[in-house]
Amino acid sequence: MGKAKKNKRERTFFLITIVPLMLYLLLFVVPVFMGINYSLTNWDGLSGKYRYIGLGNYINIFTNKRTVKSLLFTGKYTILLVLIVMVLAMLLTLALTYLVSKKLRTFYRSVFFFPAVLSLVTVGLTWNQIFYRVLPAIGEILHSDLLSKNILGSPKTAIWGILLVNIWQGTSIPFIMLLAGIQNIPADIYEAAKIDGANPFQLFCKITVPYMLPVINVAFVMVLKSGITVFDYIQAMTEGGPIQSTESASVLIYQLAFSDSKAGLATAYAVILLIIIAIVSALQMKISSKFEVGQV
Amino acid sequence: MEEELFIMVKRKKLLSIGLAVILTAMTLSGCGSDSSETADSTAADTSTAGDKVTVEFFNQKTEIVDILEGLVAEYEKANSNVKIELITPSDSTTVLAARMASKDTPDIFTDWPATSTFAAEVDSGSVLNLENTGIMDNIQDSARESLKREDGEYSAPMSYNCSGIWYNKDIFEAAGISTIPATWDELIADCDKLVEAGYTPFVTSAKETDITDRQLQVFLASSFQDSYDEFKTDASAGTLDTGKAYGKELTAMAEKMVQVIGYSQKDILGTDQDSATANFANGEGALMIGGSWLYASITAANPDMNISMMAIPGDAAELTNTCASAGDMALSIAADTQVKDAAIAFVKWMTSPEIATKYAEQEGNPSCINGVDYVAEEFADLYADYVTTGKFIVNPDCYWSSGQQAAAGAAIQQLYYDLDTSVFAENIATAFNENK
Amino acid sequence: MKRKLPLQIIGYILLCILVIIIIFPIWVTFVTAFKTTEESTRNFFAFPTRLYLGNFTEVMSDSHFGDYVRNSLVITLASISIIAVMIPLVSYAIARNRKQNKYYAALYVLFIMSIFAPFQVLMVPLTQLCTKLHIMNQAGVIIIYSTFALGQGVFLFCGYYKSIPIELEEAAGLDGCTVLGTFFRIVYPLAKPMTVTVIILNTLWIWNDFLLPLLILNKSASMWTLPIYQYNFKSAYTFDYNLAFASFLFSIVPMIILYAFLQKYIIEGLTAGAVKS
Repeated sequence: MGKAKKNKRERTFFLITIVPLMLYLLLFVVPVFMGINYSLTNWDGLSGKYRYIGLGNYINIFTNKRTVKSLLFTGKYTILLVLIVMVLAMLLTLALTYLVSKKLRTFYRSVFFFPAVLSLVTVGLTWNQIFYRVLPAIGEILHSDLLSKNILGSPKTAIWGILLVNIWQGTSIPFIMLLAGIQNIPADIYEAAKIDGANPFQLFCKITVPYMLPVINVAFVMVLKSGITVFDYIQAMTEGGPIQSTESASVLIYQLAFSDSKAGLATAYAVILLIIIAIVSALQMKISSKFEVGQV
Repeated sequence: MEEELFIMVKRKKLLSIGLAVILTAMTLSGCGSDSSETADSTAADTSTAGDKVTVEFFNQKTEIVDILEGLVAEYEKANSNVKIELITPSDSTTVLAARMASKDTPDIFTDWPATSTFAAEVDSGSVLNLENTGIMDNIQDSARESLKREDGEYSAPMSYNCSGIWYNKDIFEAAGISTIPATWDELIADCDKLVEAGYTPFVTSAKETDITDRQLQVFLASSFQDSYDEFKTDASAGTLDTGKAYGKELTAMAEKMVQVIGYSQKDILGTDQDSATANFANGEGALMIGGSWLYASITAANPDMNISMMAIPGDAAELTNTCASAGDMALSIAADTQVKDAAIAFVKWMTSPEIATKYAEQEGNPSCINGVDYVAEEFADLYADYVTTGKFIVNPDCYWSSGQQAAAGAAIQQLYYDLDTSVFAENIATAFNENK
Repeated sequence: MKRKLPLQIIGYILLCILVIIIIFPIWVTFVTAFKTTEESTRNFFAFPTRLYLGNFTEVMSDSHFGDYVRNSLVITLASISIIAVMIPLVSYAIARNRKQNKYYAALYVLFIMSIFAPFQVLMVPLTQLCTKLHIMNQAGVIIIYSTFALGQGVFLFCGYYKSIPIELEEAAGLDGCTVLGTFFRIVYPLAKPMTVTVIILNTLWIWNDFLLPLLILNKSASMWTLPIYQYNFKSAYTFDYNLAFASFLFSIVPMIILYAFLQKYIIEGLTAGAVKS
């Protein structure tokens, strides 16, 4: 390849990135820095006037029970969500692949995808009514004390109500991805392994999972994102209650900024969350790049 | 040379592709809005379209949209050179806060003047002082007085809200209760009567903290002997000390609240106000703590319902009281509006006795406007006994920060959850002191 | 195959239960849309006693209903058109250069950062910025969506491009194809399953999104999108489920059509390439 040609290639590649990079700098990076600036002030979110107070907001966050609690809640919620959704999506994928005939597979696939089509507002409002009216009625029949009340009404069980709805809707897309992934594993590999006398469990561990790692990785990132940034489900169902037991980081940031007039504190919290997220995603990228290496 | 030129051409081509993508987006959306908005003048242009002045009217009260639409149409008919762009967004408090933060306050907006949020909005310089506009002459002196700030008047209140207990007159009659209870003990006796007659006395909702916070306020109005003022000062300053006189009063109040829970349907923490209102309208309970702000939704769910409102009875009849405030519906104008004269003219018209009467007749809440006589019969007694006499306490949450309100609401939920009155005063103190 | 039978039966039963759990809330939405408020107050979950279409006519009778539908369509279509070209292209540049060039490696990390950023973090500064730039309009919303789609899109495409054999491109390069020529003639067609996936994911997000249009498009009801209109059935103390659910059905239909058309492509080869490597 001639040097001029190589140069041309490089320039074209560079030019391609300019528009997205400009947009990204303007609409994502600039707001982030505006936020960082506010996080050092006592801004109330309304007035043009504010005063720099150093790291006061940051200190406040780590000493305030409410913010620490919401960080812990977000962590717990994310871990539960990722675990349950990934396992459920995998089980559904396996069930549809090995237990169900081809015709029915299309039917189930369409049904299981359907929740993803609905808006979060629709989902939250419908489930609110189910938790208030249907589940307690079923609980009465079963004589279960736990179920005979709205599970969103108790600080002990509310997280499970929100998780249930999030899983109900949030499994669809990972499931569709895993299903697509499993269908692309060449059949002859299985045949060869079977001839070598591998049992189903070994087939799963040695062939299915390794071949699906890239798609598992993608699905994992998406579920992780929806867990860390969970907002709409909580806002539609409990608004962080009862007794502030379901305040996720996003919900608390929103409330601090818009109802408590503490925009400075809210952005400081947001910055801390961003740092945590940066660490998590760096770890995630490291791990997934390892997978990719193993793959080749 | 040729190579160089070729690269430059390429580069231009690429840039133009990038630009074209963005421009397509802009024109696409541009086309979209142009085609249908030939009749309406574009909203972004609030100044003048021809000779027509467009005034944005940002309404935060979803339940009165229909009433306002009617009044706006009437105004536009009489003033053909003015277009009032009435807009009622969902989640309006978020939108208003974001727009004020962006120095883009709507020309006219409804707000709740007796709240700390509104005070912050005024402090930020976003709201016009209405003192010398002539608007405030339409407003009753007592209402004006209660909202006046040292630096001026920023809100034109049209109606009062008042709080207390909604009761179902038909169920009271069926259970043989002929007069409303004057003291707390009488209320409890009536509750027993209702239970005997097979009714659930109270419908209580505690799923949302803004609702439990309101319940706290209603109870405060009639539960304190004489330490209320001290409590009020310490609460807003975030210096509550349960060792003071009000500590005992708080515990006594918590016991009353727990009594109400005992007479309520089960699962109150799982019941939101929406469901509670529907249940009350269905006759599934005889009493519901709340305020005039529930009037529209109760009557919408059951238009034929026979209801009225009373204050929460105190230990003695003379301690019975309610909380109320001017400005359930109140109008404000942006300080930096481009259409100040048109906005003032419209607000003046809205608060004129003739229009305010029309408004009150449709909306029902007691009016703050001079020369309006109408009061819905559901509020008539409460209004006559407490509001016109000036006995009421001003809704205490106007002295509390939003953080304090949310935390206080959560403390009430905690009480409803574990029914432990011994730690209640301490929890309330923490809620106020840690969220100042 | 015989020994699989009990497992198969259990599997079928569990799948049927799952189908019921999934269908039930959707059924509730559907049924409520066909009932009057009074019917719903009496029994929220019962089947409607007659075919009542009043909710639909009332939803459509809003003088701006046509605007909401058109705004939602324009915003979604325009954003998706940009996303479907810009993201595959920029990801291609990153994927082919990030191993040897630090600029592209940094770009990748920068874009990926935004995947996990909660929107609540940015909403106040973003609103201020849009006011200053005078893009409190549809064009503004479209550009913001296109930008915010970058993180996830770049992540998905960069993974996918690894699987497209570089030899094909090199051959094209020797034949005299430019970078763009190679991309549009060879890479883009091969990446179709991933493009479809990104289109579906972003369409679902943009079509149903509430907070961004609420913050940017609130100057006039004629600027609203469908989700803002739907949320308006919820006032502070009441919620008109019947009207709201009728309006939900309106907005579900286009998404179902989209899925029906495109699902073939996702299933066919979402990860076809990734696995081949």
